[in-house]
Amino acid sequence: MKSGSKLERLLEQGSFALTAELGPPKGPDVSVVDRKIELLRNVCDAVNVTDNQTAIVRLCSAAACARLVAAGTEPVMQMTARDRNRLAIQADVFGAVSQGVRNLLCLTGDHQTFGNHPQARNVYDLDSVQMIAMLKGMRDEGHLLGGEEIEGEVPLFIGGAANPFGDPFEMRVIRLAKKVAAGVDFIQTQCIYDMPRFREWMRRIVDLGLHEKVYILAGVMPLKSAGMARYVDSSVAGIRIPGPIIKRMAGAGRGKAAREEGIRMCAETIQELREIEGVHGVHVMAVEWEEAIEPIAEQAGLLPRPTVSVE
Amino acid sequence: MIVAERKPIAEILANLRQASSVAVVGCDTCVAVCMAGGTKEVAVLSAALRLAARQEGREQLITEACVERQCEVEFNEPLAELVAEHDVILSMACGVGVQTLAEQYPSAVVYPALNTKFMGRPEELGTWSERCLGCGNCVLDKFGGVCPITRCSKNLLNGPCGGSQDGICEVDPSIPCAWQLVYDRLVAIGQLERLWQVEPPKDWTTSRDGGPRKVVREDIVP
Amino acid sequence: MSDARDTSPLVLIGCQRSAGAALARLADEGRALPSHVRWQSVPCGGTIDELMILEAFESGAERVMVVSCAAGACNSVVGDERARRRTAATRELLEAIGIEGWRLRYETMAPNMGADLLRWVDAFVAPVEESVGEA
Repeated sequence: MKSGSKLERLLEQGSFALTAELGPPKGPDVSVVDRKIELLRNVCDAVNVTDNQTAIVRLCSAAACARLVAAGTEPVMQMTARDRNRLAIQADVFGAVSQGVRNLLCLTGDHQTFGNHPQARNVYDLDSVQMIAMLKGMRDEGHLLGGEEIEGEVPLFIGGAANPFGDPFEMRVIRLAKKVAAGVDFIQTQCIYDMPRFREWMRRIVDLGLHEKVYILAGVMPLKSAGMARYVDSSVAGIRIPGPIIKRMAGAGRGKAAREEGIRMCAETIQELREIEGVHGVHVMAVEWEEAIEPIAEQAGLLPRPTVSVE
Repeated sequence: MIVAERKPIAEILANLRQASSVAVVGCDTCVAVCMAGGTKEVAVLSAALRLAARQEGREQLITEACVERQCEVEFNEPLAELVAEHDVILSMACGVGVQTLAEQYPSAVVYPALNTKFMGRPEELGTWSERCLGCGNCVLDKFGGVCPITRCSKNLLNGPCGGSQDGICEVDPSIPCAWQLVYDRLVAIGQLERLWQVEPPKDWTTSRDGGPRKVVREDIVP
Repeated sequence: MSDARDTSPLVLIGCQRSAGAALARLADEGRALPSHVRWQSVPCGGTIDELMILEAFESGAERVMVVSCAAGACNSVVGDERARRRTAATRELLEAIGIEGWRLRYETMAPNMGADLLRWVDAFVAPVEESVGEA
């Protein structure tokens, strides 16, 4: 066991994992976080807390994760390279572990021009690959990047992201291989709408034997409406939604009917993903729609969640 | 080369209104090549300043001058009289030239007329783009001659990030994804295996992060 | 409607193949530019730049008209485009220093449009301001 986290144990024992996402508020009001925890706690295995996602300032991931730990829910703390240098990252790792956080997801981070402080200096002292390697060094060798020994243990389950849909395609495979070489334990992918492309990527991953070195959680995002689908397709970096999917959403109508269709489609996608070799779980990104996780999990046959049997 | 462009006129004028005499001094090296501060540009700005003074009913003497390279004191020496005779020296050189004049003539008031942008190259007539930000430890050998520090918006050494699509950077459609360029170049020269290496964290002390830098050739200093 | 004829100094900068040729033809007919207009000939619109236009204003012009051959007719192919863009850039510069943009105009013409040229010069006045009530 690298960290002993619930997510790690479930994946170790071969359970198909289900993680969800929680977006913190644009302010210090933790009641928002508490409310979302209640919606998610029993319907998934671990909850990602985003970190100034799309470069918009929100309650920091570390504080929200501490809240989850206190509520007995497993967090996955996201950390971007955009806002912190290597000192801050290592200090935040200490802080997170001290509060009971065990799962850490290393991200490069959306460029700050996307967010509400485009004039900020960006950091990117490290990239996500280097961050993964650094965390591994902290955990397995007990020293900081600069070489000094760490006082105490740093049990971590190290995560990373992967985008099978970016260009160039060959690089997407190489990048995952690099993250594995750097020491990543689990990966969450960008949301999948282009199934053929995802299958192709998985084929290459399996060919290289990478699926035996890292747990892969396939990302999915339920759509609320055709409008949302079009917006995501055109405005969100790294995501393309094929025409047939937008058409299906358009055909579903509006409001509740559209949302139900979105949930249905998401559940179908999950069921399809379960059949693909090398996929160890799913990561559901229901942006500001945490209520959707339960029906999605239900329809995908993922409830109730398994319990940990490995000690 | 160093690439710069003229500041907005309003900003330049704001610093000049109190002066009764201004010497506009250009530089005929980098900023002449990028058409921002050479002899021609000095003439245009000076004409504009004279017209502005007339419009605003101000008496202001504008004198034009240009030196070969404003970052070297030898070239600026002939300016001594000009500097002494004018209230303000408006330098049309890059930031290095402006500072050289200020260091060389410490009692002179020297203002910049340009915004110095980057080290780059002309892509076509009238377009210059950034290529090097002087990180102090060149790794172009590892990336097929494409610099990811400068040309990747996130200066990744193990890129690309998830936002690279169709060879374009997520930040702006006019920015090519540096990692697409690196990939294409390494494929072209048969060195793709370089991309499988995990690049360790960069030592930023050789860059500006380590403080202002200096290069000394011990074998040359007197 | 008021007779708003402007006789303040006007500099006409034009290429010899278009405006120049037109003025020569007008001269044959015994017609000429008004006396408040100074004619400045250039070999091609492409040689017209910011400095030339600013110097015209500095020399006392209160209005400057830049004329070149029409798009597609320039003997140097891109001269008209250069003239158009540089005039536009100079207009921005003028406005930034407090000289109204309407005082700089750009026109294209062929050598047989001399009558038009005279009319443009006559019509080169400040834009009429919108006013409530009678003129």
